[in-house]
Amino acid sequence: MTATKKAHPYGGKMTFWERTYLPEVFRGMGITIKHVIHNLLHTSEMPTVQYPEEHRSYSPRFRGRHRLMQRDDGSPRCVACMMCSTACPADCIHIVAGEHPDPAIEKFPETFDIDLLRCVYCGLCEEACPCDAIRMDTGIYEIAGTTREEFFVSKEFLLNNKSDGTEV
Amino acid sequence: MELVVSSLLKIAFLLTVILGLVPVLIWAERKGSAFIQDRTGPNRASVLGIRLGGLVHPIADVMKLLFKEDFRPENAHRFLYALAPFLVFFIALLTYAVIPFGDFIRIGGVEYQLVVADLNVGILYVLAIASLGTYGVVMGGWASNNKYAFLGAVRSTSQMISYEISMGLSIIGLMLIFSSLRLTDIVAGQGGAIWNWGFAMQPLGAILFIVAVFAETNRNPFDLPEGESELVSGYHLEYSSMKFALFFMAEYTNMVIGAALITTLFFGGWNIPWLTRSVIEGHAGTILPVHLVIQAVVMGLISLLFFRRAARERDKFGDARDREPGFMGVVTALMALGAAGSFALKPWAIGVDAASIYATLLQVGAFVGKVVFFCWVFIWVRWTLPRFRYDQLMGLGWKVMLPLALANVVLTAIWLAIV
Amino acid sequence: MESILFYLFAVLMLGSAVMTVTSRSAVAAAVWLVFCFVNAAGVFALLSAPFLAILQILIYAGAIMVLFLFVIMMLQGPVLPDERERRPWSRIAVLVLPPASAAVILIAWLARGGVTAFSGAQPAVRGTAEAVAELLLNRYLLAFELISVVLLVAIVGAMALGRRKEELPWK
Repeated sequence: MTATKKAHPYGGKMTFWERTYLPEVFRGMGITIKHVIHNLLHTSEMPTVQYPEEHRSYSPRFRGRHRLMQRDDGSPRCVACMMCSTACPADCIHIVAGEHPDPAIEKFPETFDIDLLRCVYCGLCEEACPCDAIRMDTGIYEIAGTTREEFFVSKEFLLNNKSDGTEV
Repeated sequence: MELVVSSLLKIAFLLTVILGLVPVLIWAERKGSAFIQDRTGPNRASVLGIRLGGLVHPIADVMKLLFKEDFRPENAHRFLYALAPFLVFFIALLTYAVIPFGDFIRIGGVEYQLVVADLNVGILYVLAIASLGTYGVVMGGWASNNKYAFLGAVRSTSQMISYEISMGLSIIGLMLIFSSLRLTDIVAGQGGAIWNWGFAMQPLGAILFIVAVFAETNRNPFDLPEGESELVSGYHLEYSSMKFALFFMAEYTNMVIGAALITTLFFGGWNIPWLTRSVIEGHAGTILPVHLVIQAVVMGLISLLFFRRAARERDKFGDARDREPGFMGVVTALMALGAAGSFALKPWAIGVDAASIYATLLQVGAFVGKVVFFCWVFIWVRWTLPRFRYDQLMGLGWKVMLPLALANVVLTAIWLAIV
Repeated sequence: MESILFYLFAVLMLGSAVMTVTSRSAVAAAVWLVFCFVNAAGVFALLSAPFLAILQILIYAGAIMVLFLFVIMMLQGPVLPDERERRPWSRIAVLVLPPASAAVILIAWLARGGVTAFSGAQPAVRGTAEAVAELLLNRYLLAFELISVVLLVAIVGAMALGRRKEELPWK
């Protein structure tokens, strides 16, 4: 038998010993038992994250729950330009604009609600915002609730959503 | 009357071992598969913080299944649908009647054979009951009135028929060598050196039998009746609650039978290589102390490991689970102390009756140990190999295993005629 | 004890045989037939013929009926609601069969010879594997082999009949 006729390990004709299955079965069992023994002896090296106790660290660019940025006086930076709600592919941002008492600022959001159940966390609102008012840098990914209403978050909630994950 | 009492005791022992092994095997399946795939596996359910590496999970599973709705699909065959899981489990348990788990136990001068029914057609009984096992699967699959379940049932039937033949033929060589159908004779014939075991005498027969047993128990790589990737979950698709649990338990019971059969027929049954009963009884004064010392040392080392872990991970979770390593350390330390403390009873001067019982216990322990090992092999193979394609399965059964089994019979007969 | 078991097996056997005939679906009938075979095996075991009893289960209940079920299920598929209606002739069968079988039993009872009841175990040596092997492979070897040949011919014939003409190897 010439070298060119030799069967490729993952295609073509199987050799006699491969067709008996058994040597390959034992080889596979050898590989799996190696994993078992290694994992038994090195339980701490297991890549599993013990989730409620441990958290996986995400990149700072991870898009978590939204927050609204504040001015120095604590009012929202948002000028209710509707860029974000227009850009939103899931149509989950609902803004009602109001006239701002300060003549230098045209508008401000009277309400700024986000339906977190509709949100697809794409980040387009962040990119669309002309005054860096909405950000998704909180790193919060544990978004859970028992009713649908809990996911319909208001301006006040979003203003107090801090990037370190704490809620004030 | 005495026969009834001793039989009931033997049945109780077997049931305890088998039904006790089932949750352990479910745990081993989950934990073993996890370790093979570099995961941690079950480790959450706990009783007072004691998790036993996830061994509490089967109990939680049973509680969950007990309180689930017992669902019956519309247009299912009412009687057969209810009967199928019971039949599967019942037939799975029947086989144990003929499997010897020790040779005899001498109590008060009377020798009790450690097998429930020592039939003179023991092997055939095993094959007959195994062939009935498919009915539960077929009924469950057909009575559910579901296409996937039905396909699972059809696959199960054809697979069982195909592999039963090679299974029966593969042990004919063994019957020829031991010239008996009685399982106790076959086990007794495998005593002494390790090359007396069936595996050494009938290597081809042993391989064929093990493969056929895998097929008969519907375990991977032959789990096409379940085939969750193509049949959702096959014949028990529509079952829920304890009916599903019965199917599930029957699968593991079948696995224990398979392991017990492989052990009994090809791996010496309750025999310990070279340590025959007469050797154990004659040297019980040496073997028992050595055994106790080994047990004390091993248990002591394990308890040291637990205590080291307890010291290291004192505040790992911040709840009751932190107490677990310490608790396990105390338990294992007590076991080590028990083994060491039994030296006060002078094990080197063991009496004749006690030596006999000790030999029996060692043999039963050897049997259970071998069965547990082969159960692990079932799990091990399942998480190593992919599933067969259906035509490959049939090709292997009819075109490879059947001719090989026939050749094995002929070769054994010729060899026996010459020697 | 043995008589009690005998009558138990006998009643169950007859009952399941009746259920086999009267069942609405073919699969249920097959399952009842399996139960009937198992009870027949019980009767064989009581007659000190353990080998025969095991073979009854192994071959009839375990292999042949599995094949039957396989074929029935392949042809019939899952039950559909309209298929489960009782057919008129089965009602006639239910009316006719029990009296008929009762009559058969009565005739058998009247024509009985010396045996009035189940006489218990036969000598144990007759029904063992060794005894059966002695008969089949020594005394009646020729007949046994001839029957195997007949069966082989039947299998080949069935295959020949089942295939289309142009597929036959000698055409």
